[in-house]
Amino acid sequence: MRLHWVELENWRQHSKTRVDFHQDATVIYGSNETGKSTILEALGRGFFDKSNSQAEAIKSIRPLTATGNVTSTVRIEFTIGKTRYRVEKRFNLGKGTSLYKIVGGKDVLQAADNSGDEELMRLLEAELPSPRGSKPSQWGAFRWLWAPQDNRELPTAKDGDPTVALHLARSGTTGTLATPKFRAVQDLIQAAYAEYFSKTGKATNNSPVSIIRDQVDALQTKTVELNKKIRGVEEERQRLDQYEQRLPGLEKELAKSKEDLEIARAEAVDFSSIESQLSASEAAVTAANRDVEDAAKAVGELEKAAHEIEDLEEKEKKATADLAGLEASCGLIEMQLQKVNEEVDERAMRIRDCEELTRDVRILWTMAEAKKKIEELDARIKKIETIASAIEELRKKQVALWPPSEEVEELGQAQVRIEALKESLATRGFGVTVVPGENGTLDVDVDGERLEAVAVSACGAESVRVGTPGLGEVVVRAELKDARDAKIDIARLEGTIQAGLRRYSANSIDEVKELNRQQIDIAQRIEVLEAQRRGIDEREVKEVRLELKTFEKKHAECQKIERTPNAKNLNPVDVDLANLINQRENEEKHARLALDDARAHRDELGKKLRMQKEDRATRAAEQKHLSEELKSARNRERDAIRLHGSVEGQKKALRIAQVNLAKKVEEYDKIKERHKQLEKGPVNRIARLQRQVANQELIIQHERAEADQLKGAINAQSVEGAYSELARVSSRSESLQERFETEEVRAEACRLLRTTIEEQYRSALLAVIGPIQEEVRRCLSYATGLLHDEVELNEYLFPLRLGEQGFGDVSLEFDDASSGLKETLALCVRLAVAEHLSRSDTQCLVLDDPFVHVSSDRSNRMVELINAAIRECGLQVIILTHRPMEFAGFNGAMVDIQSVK
Amino acid sequence: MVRLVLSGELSLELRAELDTMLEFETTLHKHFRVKSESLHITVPEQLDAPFDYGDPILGQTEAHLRQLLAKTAVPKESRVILESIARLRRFAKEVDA
Repeated sequence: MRLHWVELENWRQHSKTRVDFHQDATVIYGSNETGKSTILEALGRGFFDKSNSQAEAIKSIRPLTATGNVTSTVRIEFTIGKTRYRVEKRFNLGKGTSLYKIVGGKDVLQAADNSGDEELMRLLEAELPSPRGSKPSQWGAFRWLWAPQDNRELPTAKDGDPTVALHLARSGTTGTLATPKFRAVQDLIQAAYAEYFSKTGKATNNSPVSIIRDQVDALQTKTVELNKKIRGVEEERQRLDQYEQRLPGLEKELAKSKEDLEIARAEAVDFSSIESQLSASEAAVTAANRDVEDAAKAVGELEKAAHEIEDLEEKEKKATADLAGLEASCGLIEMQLQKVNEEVDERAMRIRDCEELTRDVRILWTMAEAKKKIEELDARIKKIETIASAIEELRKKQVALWPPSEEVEELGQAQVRIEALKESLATRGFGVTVVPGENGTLDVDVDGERLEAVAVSACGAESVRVGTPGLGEVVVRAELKDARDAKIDIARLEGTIQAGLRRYSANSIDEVKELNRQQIDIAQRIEVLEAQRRGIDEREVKEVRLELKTFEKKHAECQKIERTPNAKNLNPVDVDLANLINQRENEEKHARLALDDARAHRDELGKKLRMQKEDRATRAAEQKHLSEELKSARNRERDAIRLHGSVEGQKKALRIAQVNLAKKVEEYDKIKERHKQLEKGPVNRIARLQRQVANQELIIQHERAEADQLKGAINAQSVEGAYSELARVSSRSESLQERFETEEVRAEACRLLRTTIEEQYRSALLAVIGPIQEEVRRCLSYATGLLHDEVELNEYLFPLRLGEQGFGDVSLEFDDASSGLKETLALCVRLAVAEHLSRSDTQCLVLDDPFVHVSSDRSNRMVELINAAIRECGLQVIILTHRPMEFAGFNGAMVDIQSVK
Repeated sequence: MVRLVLSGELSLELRAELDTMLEFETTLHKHFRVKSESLHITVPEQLDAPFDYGDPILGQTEAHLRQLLAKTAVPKESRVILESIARLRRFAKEVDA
């Protein structure tokens, strides 16, 4: 079927709306409550509801603004097969159905009212609606193709068999794939299976197989225990038999061992006499050995004493010789020391001479220096006194008040300035010449001085006033500032000069200048003399005289010292005394060095002598000690000789004792050899047999005890009951084993039957819905980006589970899938059904907001799939949405619902 | 002890009755033992005759089981398959009844 247009009149919010559908895709968009879904509702009611329906839902389609009952009309034009139809349905007030067939552009009424509804149902392959209105389950194939908002979910089992509506091929019969009989048999098989197995395929604990197996296991465990008990008793019996068989043999062996022991004891009768001989020989050897040891000890002591005396004598001799050598050495050193002491005394005397000469020459030098200083100070005092008298003379010529050079210079400059000012006044001062007229006189007033000359030439300081009687007064004015200042300055300077002359009682400036020159000359001469005085000696004369007296005193003291004859001979007074002092000091220094050397040599010899004496004392003590030791050793030797006799005698006794010892040892070895032979023979055999008899007795005793214990244990246990119990358990076990096999066959038969019937059902299902399932799988794989590439549908085309790369690793039940995935899968199923039906006729897929929960990437892929279906299968798609941008990629028309209302 | 050794042929339908009987006997008598390895269970004639299930999938199920029976040579597997067919028919009859 292909839709061409739909027209609504008085239908909810649509007063009159017509929507033309594009042949490929039409996207009707608009905001909420603008009437998009109402278009789909009108299509559904126009196709599948009877016009005379009294359902409440149909009554509610009248406009909200309408008062009272009105007629709501829907007109739809469509094509089925190659025939074009138009249906007009009127609800509520003016009920009625009109089905037109359009032939050659003209409407031909096919059927009306009830027959029109029925004819329309036949064309659409849908079921007649119930009195309460049509349900999607009655829409035939349209329940997959049309998805209104209130019916987004895919049809399920309760919605009926899809095979007829979708023209699905079935072999054999028509109708539902799983008949009620099949379902009933399947339920019985499942119940029988559940008797043995759980849902996971494992045997249940309460199944007959498990119960019987547990019983068999328990019986087998009991059988094992009984067998173990019987086997234990039998083993003990066997061991008892072994003991009882072995004991007589062991007793026989014990008796034989005892007989052998008696025989061996009889053979060893003379062994005791050999043992006593061996003991006596051992004692003789010991005594001989002791004699040898005593003799050897005495010889050793005597020889040791002789060696000790010899050694001590040698040591004493050596000590005596050393002592004599040390005494000779000490004497030699004492002689050397005496010589050195004499040398030291001599050098000390020499130093005293040098010191005397040095002191003498120093006195001579001091006296000469004092004399020289006295003469010098005398001359200096005389010069100072001469200069002092000259200064006194000059001071007498000095006056109390005389002009300083600066003042003289100022006076000279004042005079020069006065002259300069006067000359300037004469050359630059104001001059005026007035010639009196015939009619009057002329008065000239210069600086207040009235001039009455007829012709006057005067110099004014400030202004000249000219006046003539009868003619008024003429005032001659000029700038006289400089002239007036010069005049004042001249007066001031002349005052200064007069004051200076009066101060110094002079008549002229030249006199003042002469006075100044004379006094300056006197002052300069005094300064020169005072400088000379200071150059001679800055001190006062009395201080110089005091120093002079000091030197005179020192000279007198030196003269008082009496010189030795040696000094008078060796220290001449007419030579350079300073050099002589140096010479004497050097001589004294050398003499001191020589004395130090001599003293060091003396100390060294003294130290050496002390060491030699100490060594000599030590050696003397040693020699004394050795003498005492020698004396003591000789006493000990005498005691040893007195005790043991002479060394030669003791050596002879030692040789005799050694020969005797050799003989005794030889005799002992012979007896010992005989003893060993006897020991190896009957004695050893007796010992061995004694041990053998004791061990055999222990073994027999142990085995008798074991046998008695086993007898007691065997008597204590009763195995008769065990045998009968074992027989009963075995019988029961065999019987249960038979039953177990039977139940096992039954269980396996149930499992096989269940598996086989499910396989057959799947096989039949796959034959019917296989192509659609494959198409759904392809669409889903593409839409989810190859994430889910497996899907399983049931016979009602409802998804059961999803898989990733088969159902092996990751399998997802449909109920557990997310809302977006469910929505995507539903759309895939609808698209697959549409493509399947498009093989016989064009199909119209109507979707109301299909991507509510689907992400944008998946919705884009779904749009691509729908576009492909439009292109390849001629599918017509109508989308109702409030998000037109999601469907902008469609090939078709975009219709704003507001623009067509 | 009494040992009962069974041999010969027994139809499959009677096997269940025999099992019930032997189970009772073995429970009653302690020293009663049964050996049935030599007893050959035969397919009843009813199983050889065609059976109308009235449902294609059920019919196809029995056909498939018969194919399995023809292929197997193991006695125990044959017993299991025959038991399956018998049960399938019994269930179908129960539903019809």
